[in-house]
Order: sequence, then C-alpha cells, then structure tokens
Amino acid sequence: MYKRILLPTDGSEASRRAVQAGVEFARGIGAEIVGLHVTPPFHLLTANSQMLEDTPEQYAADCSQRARQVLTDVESVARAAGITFRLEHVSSNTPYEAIIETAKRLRCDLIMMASHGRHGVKGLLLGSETQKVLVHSAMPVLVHR
Amino acid sequence: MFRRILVPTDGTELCSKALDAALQLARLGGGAIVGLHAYAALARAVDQDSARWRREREQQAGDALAYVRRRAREAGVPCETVLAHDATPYEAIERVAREQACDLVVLAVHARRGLRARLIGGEAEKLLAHGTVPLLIVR
Repeated sequence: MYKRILLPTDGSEASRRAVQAGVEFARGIGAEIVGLHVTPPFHLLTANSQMLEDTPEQYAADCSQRARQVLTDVESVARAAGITFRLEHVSSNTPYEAIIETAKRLRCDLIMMASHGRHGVKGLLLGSETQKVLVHSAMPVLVHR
Repeated sequence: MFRRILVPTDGTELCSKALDAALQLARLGGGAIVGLHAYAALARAVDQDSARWRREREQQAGDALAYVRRRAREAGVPCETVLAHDATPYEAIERVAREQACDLVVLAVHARRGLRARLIGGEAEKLLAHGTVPLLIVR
C-alpha cells in the first residue's frame, strides 16, 4: 500500500485537520509522511500588501518564518504519533504544481489534503488548489473533510 | 483507519482499480467494503425495447456486484453490495455512503489532457463539490 504520503498544508484550520488525519492514517498503514508548505515568490508588481511594503529579503524571511510555523505544527503531530516524517518549504506561484512536483521528487505515492484551504468555500465548489491537484496529479489523491 | 469503504462500480476496468485500492485499505485496517452499482430505473417497461434495456441493465448490475463480492472473498475482506436506483450516480453514492456509515469513498477517474483537464469528470466532480465523505481518487 502507500509508503510515503505527502501532506500539503497552508496552515488553515482545515489543513491542520487534514494533517492530523493524514498522520493517523499513515501510522495505521505503516507509512511515513512529508509535510509541505508552499509560499509565493516575491513580486514587484503585486496586490499583496506584505510584498509591496517588504524588501525581497524581508519578504523571504517572513515566508521562511511562516513556513517554519506551519511545518512545526506538522512535526509535532508526526512526533506525537511516532512516525517518520520530512518537512519541505517550496516557493512557487502555482501551489498545485509545487505539490505535484514535490510528491514526485520525494517519491510519495499518495497526496492527502483538505477539500478547502485558506480561501475557504466562498464562491468555490472545491478549494482551487485541491481541485487543480486532483485534475493534474497522476498520483492518488485523498480529499479529507 | 477506514472501517467501511464504499466502492461505486459500473463494472468497467477503471472501477477495478478503485476496488484494488479499497480492498488493500480494508485489509490493512481490518475494515469492510460496500460495493455499489447505481442506475436510474425506468418507471415501467413501456415496450419491448425498454423491457430488454431493463433486463440488460439488471444483468450488468448483477455482474458488476458479483465481481466485487468475488474479489472481496478472494482478498478475505467482508463485503456487502447495494444496487441503487437514484436519479444520478452522485446521489446514490452520497445516500448509500450515509446510510451505510461509510468513512471513505474510492473512485477511479480517467486521466485527462488539454481542455478537458479542467474538470475531472461528472460524478467525481459533484461528489467533491457537494459530498461530505472523504474521497480517495485513483487513476
């Protein structure tokens, strides 16, 4: 069965629940997990207020810090469950591509993620990144609710 | 772990991939599977053609579910099968998942390219958008 499960998280409540469920599932089937957090790279032209005010260096530092926070969360859940884990922070404009590429690069065999992330259900049938991962991934995807 | 795994099947090759995954998961977690075949029944056989259509659909449904039971028996996994006649497969899957207290639905979908790659396909899409049960999508 699955040996290495990728758990992408944006730090939202739904993502955290999915990570929790993913770690439990991994323990149940004897798999290890990879926690992944994706942040967008710095742009000069942007509507993102944080990017407008920051220098690229400051922005990168903020992203790293945010990623550390989110991934520390994954780490503590995995440690508590006593399973093998690895943490990844990737910078990309297209989170779904980063998710799929990371899954391939680290030889994961399952992606497990929340049906909705930070942008919530507002106006969307399914979280947009989850939707894109589902469409483009050749790997099995488990949608947690 | 998942204790009761719903596997909708139309009897095609694609569905046997979903069945493989469901059986492995059920075996690992000591769970059971529920095989489901759904088609909207005609209100009544109005003529010979519709009577034949109905017989063929019943035959297909019986074959698809018998295949699920056989595979489950071979894998040593407890199995039940359900034949549903809801208006759409999506409604049947949601209803049966709820009634049978399933904690996972396993669906196989076609890999798509180009423009069609914007959607993953009918029933899976509806389940993802409106469903409430966790969903494992395999290809």
